[in-house]
Amino acid sequence: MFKVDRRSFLQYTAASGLASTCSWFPSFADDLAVQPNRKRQCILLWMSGGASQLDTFDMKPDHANGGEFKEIDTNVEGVRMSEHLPELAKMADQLAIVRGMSTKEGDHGRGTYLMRTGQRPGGLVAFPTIGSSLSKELGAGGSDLPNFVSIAPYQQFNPGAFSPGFLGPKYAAATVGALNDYRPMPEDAEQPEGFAELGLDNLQPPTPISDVREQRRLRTWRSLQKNFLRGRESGATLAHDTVYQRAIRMLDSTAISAFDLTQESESVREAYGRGRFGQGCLMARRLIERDVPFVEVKLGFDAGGAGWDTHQNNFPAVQNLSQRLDRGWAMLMKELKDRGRLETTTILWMSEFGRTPTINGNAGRDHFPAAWTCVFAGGGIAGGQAYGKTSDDGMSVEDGKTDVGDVLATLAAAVGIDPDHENISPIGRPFKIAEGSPIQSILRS
Amino acid sequence: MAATWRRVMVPGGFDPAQAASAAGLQEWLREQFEANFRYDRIVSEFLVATGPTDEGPTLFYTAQEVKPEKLADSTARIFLGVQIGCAQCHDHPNGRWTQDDFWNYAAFFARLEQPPAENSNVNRIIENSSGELKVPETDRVAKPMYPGGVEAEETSLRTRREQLALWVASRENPYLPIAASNWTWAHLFGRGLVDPVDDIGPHNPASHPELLDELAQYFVKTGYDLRLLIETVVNSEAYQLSSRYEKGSPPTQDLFAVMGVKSMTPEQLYDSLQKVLARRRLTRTAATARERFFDPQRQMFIAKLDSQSRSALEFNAGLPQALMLMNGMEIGEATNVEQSSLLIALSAPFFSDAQRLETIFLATVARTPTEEEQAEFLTLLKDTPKEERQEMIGDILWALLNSSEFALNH
Repeated sequence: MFKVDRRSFLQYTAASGLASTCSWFPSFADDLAVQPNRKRQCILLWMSGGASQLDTFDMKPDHANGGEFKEIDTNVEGVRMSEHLPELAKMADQLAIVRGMSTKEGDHGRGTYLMRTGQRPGGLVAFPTIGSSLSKELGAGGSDLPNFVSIAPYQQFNPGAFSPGFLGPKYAAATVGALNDYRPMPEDAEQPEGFAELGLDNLQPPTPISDVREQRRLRTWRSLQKNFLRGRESGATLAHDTVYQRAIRMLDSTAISAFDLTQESESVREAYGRGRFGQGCLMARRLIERDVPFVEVKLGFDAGGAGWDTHQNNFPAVQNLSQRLDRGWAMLMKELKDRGRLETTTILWMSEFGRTPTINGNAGRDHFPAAWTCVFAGGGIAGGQAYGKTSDDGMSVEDGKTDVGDVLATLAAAVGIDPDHENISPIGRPFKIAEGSPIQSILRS
Repeated sequence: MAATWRRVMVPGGFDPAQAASAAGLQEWLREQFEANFRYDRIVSEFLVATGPTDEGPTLFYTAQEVKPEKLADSTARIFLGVQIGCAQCHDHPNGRWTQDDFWNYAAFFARLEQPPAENSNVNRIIENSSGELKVPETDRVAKPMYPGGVEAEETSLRTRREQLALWVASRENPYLPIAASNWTWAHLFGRGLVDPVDDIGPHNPASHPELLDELAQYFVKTGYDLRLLIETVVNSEAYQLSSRYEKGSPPTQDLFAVMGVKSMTPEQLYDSLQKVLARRRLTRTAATARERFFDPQRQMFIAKLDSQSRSALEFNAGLPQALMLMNGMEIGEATNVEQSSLLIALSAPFFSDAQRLETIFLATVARTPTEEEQAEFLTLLKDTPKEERQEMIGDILWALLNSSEFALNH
């Protein structure tokens, strides 16, 4: 009998010294894959710009650093959060809030790279973003949909932090971009008309062509391939042909409709929030339903907005962002739960760093990697708790200090992947998926 | 070739802030190869580089934070073709490299320092006249020693790196010609005679040891003439073999019995697409390599396809890249009858359909269509209403640009 009891499993491997070699691991992943009810998936909610922990999940209402917002009760006694996250507060039993984050990069580009790859930037090796490493292990080769989808990513801070690095382009995210110019500016009191429309990049040619022409192109292509492949059906040629066949199959399949949000009712779309994050969460739900292993949705820096980088006027901006976050994320969890998917889908809410507890002269908060917060939810996570503690002024971590390696290792462990699993880099050196230890007390065994 | 070597030297890619430095490194390599400087001289120059990163090889040092252990590992792999990096922590399993050997070699890089940059995009390095390296967790000071166990003499006349550069270029160094011959073979065939290309040693014999030996001796005899070495290999029977196997299952790659099918680098693919486009940007394409390096559209295209794989015999792209090549902006413009100047030129009334077909085949896969293809596509064209024939030519061009034959070197 195969029982997924991660903690004892990891202890066993550590004790037997197998943890770093891992030749046994593919069979473990295969076992998971053939048991549909155990198959794990992952959603990263990426808060671009650096979300303020003091105004969301680690509030200090009794201190001058606390700021303007009120703290409210949640459905878990002793766990409290911002008044602008009322829906999530009703689901705190699903959340594990990690309040002891402490990292060493306070620049957007460097912090983004660190948190998304687990490695400091600038070395000889291009490290894979966590979505690439995990989808590589979780993904099925022949699926009709990509194994890693990134919705409306904001990559300008550091494009390398979004790349598959040395794993190669095969493990890159398929990106979803904006199809219309939807601008919900924080200043806008009124909701714009309609919804933010999103679509898979390069799904169609820049100038649309008729079905007849499309069929003609493919017929001609197949004919050329047949001639060239004869006597060369191996190596690069076969790989090239296979990738194209898979893309053509995807374009033809019904699975592709996962990217079409117009198939949802207006009321559901409305419930997620009309902006890119809300609609992105809805698309994430549709992709998770169709077994895509890793999806990321970004909040911040939509169409000219400053995102979570609130150096000025922190409070109105964070209030606006929190409302969008609360609506989209809560609805996503609710709908995943209704579909029986929440138990096997791990959600991680994370930024490149947190923000200064002290409020600056422009009523803003600056970059702060020394003590901040990220949040886990869903599959494999023991919800209803806050792990770690910061000081009364929020300036330092007093308990449960957590580094990036530990966060990524926790995420990997929660989806049933051994964080010590190694990939070989081009310089011949192996690197683990995450160089840290899973936080055992927030993992559900 | 310069782009391939830049990739070998700075495999991690670089952040946009380093683009000037990466261009500097690549341009420097291109100049060396173009002038066909003696290879031993190129390596010596490389090993003593200090200049600003946008003008030469210094990026190689700053990308490795001027750390002696990293530089020891990478210079040994690239110029000597040996992996001594694992001896950093323990004696090499085959016993050829001890931990002491590693640190003694690393001591040649012990005196490097990267002063704070006046301009964040360009860095320099300096080599001090003193400074020692200790073997970690011991009190032993590493003494600079060449691979093979000869100690470098103490001298104040030359810096440590100058001493190393002299030895590397000398006849006492048996590694350089073998490593260079193997890299050259790998560059042309997609796979070295020793594979992986930088792991030469008794534990990993060459597929054709006599051949590698002969190439290395020839390379020394010709005065480390890289161009001559490449010409010789290209003129060989092995290089001129077809990539098609006659019957049965494909022969294994290390036999070199058929030509290996190699993936184009993203740079080659983009530049090939540009050639077919032959549109306004042609003036840009004709511009210097340095300008091409900074073309944002080219950069984006390359970033999406960039593979860290060291084997050109693999094709590494996945779904998103296939979609980009099928439906992206580049291919869209290249096959649009109103935008592609190739298609615009071909719309002239004096061309026959057969000539049009021949032209787009020559422009993409450098051959005329086979009889079979000609018959098939001309029938298709004949069955297409006249006003749609230009589009049909565009569609055949689309199929050619997405074919394995176009995307791969075969």
